[in-house]
Amino acid sequence: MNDKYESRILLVDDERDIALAFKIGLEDNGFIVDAFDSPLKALSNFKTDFYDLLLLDIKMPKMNGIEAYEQMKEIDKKVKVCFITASEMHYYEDIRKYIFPKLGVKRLIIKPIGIDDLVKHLRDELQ
Amino acid sequence: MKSIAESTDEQSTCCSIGGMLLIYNYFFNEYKEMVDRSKRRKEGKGVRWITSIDKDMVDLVKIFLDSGMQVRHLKNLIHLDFAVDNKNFNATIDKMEGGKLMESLLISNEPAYVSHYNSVFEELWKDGVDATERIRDIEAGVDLEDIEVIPSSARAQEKYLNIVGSAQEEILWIFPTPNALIRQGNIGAIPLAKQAVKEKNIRVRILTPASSLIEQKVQDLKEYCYPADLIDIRYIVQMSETKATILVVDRKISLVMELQDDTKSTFHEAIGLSTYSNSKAGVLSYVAIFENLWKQSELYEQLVKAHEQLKEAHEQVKIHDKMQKEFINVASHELRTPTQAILSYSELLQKHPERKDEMIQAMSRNAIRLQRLTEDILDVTKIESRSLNLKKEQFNLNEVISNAIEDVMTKKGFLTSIKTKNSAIKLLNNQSQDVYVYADKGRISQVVSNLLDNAVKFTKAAEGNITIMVKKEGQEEVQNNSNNQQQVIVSIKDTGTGIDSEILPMLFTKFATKSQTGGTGLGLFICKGIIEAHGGRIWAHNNPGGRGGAVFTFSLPLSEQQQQPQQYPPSALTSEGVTV
Repeated sequence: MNDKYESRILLVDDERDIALAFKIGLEDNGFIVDAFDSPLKALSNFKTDFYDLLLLDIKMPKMNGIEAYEQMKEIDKKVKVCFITASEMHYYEDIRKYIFPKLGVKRLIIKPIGIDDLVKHLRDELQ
Repeated sequence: MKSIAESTDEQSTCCSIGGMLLIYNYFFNEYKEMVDRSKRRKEGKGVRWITSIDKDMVDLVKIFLDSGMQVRHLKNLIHLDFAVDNKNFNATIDKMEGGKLMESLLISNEPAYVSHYNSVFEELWKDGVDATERIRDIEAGVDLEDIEVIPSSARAQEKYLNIVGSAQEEILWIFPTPNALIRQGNIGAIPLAKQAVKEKNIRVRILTPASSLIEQKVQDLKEYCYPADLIDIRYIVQMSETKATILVVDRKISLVMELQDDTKSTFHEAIGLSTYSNSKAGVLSYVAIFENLWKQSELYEQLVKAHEQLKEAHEQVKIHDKMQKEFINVASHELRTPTQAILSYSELLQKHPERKDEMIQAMSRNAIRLQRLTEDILDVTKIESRSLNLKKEQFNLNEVISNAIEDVMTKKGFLTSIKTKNSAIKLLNNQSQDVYVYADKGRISQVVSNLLDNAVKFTKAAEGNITIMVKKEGQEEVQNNSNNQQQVIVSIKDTGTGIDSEILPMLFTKFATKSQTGGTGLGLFICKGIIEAHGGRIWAHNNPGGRGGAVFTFSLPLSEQQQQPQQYPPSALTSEGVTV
């Protein structure tokens, strides 16, 4: 993490309480965070070359996190991503095996996670 | 004839039963003397007879044999009556029916004729079967009556239909191919059998290879005399080597029709050689083949059925396995989500005392959510292990319903929702009196609240209303109610989005939910468990005509003494209902 440059995070989680808690927690750790409770809202507010990292929940109504990432990547090819889910890891086994490598996704974070651990994941991904 | 008989001590005669009877009637003594002379001479061939022996002749032939004459049997002997010795030859074309004397007799001592007919006789004699043997066969029932090879398909068809039509007790059929069944139906063999079933009550059993081509025909035949079960059809495996239709009638006659070309559409073109037989041994062998195949087809059908059951069980296991995985996934997602919120806010609370209230509210909200899920999972476990304990008491169902409505309305956001969307909840009660039930009040309240919550959830987005109907009914109006008990029926009808067509068939199973709509998918499963534990039923359907919205209905049994409580306060609800 570069001390002078504050990384910009786009956070999407349909659970409002969680989206807000993560936003506060990450801002406490020096990130600039835009948080949305729907991928559609996030997409319509998406800014090219603005975010360093996307933190996306997977299971969301109307559009899931992976579909949202595919569309955001179309707009901003360089943007990095971490997925986060409360589902069982095995539930996404096929996605992790076949879809993630194709999309260049390396990180899937499982809820619940403490703020410090979450920050560590994001910093690792940003480096 | 008499002088000939007296002049010789050996004679060879080939004749029908008429000829033998004639000799027996008029010249038997002369023939016996001929035998005696021949025996005395100790040479010569003696007195020999060739004839076709059938059942009716057995006694006569025995008399001839007892008197020392030799008799041999030849099947299908053509009409050829002659007698020959070393000097004379005589023949007749008369039939000598019943042993009547012939009207004309050709006699010759021309050596060429005598020699020729002697050699003809010797040829026939060689092929003949000893009469003793033949009589033994007849008496033992091994009647080698008639075997006919029919090369002409027209003749085969005629014989075929005659045989089927002659059936008195039973027809057994083995078809080599489904097409054979179709062709033979077309020439009228099967309609003839149906007629015989109807008129003579005979039993028809058919073995045929299965095919979609004959499925309807087979079904029609099976149902033809239902429930008498006189026509039965089973499927056998089609073998490439099986190339003949086998027909057995009354276990006495068989007709085997060889299949020449199964691609042909008519009987005449498709059929090759046919063999007719009434030989007991042959026919019974076909019966044995039929019975074996019949039994085998039964085993085969059982095997197919078992295989299907196994496949189904395997599918069920797979579905169950998938559902279990889904359960774990949904449960873990639903448990981890509120846990995440509680965990995060408890961390943040210290750093942000200024947002204490907001964070505590969020923690409390998520703690309640966690508690509900925990309770739901516990309820599911109790329902599945059949250990749902009901604390039954008598209470007014209308009261429980109005409380549930009040609860739903006081929930945050709902009032705003109904104000802005012009929604309404109506409680309509068509009973002038209160409805008392003997049930677990807490559990019934849980069911009503759950159904009401769902109705609100799916109606919120649309303008509309939710109507609750409570009525008492007899069993005839309630689905699958097998006893005569009275029921109370509660229906909750909304004008919302309706039940998703994918979810509808599994609505009351665990985790029947779409991720978009949220929820754990446990609520309706629990409702069903609770209602069924009370001896009631629960069902649901979308409003007809695609008008949107759904109706959820449950019934609870209502026994006589439970309908007349003494000390309950009258309900606040009126027959006009309450509208909010």
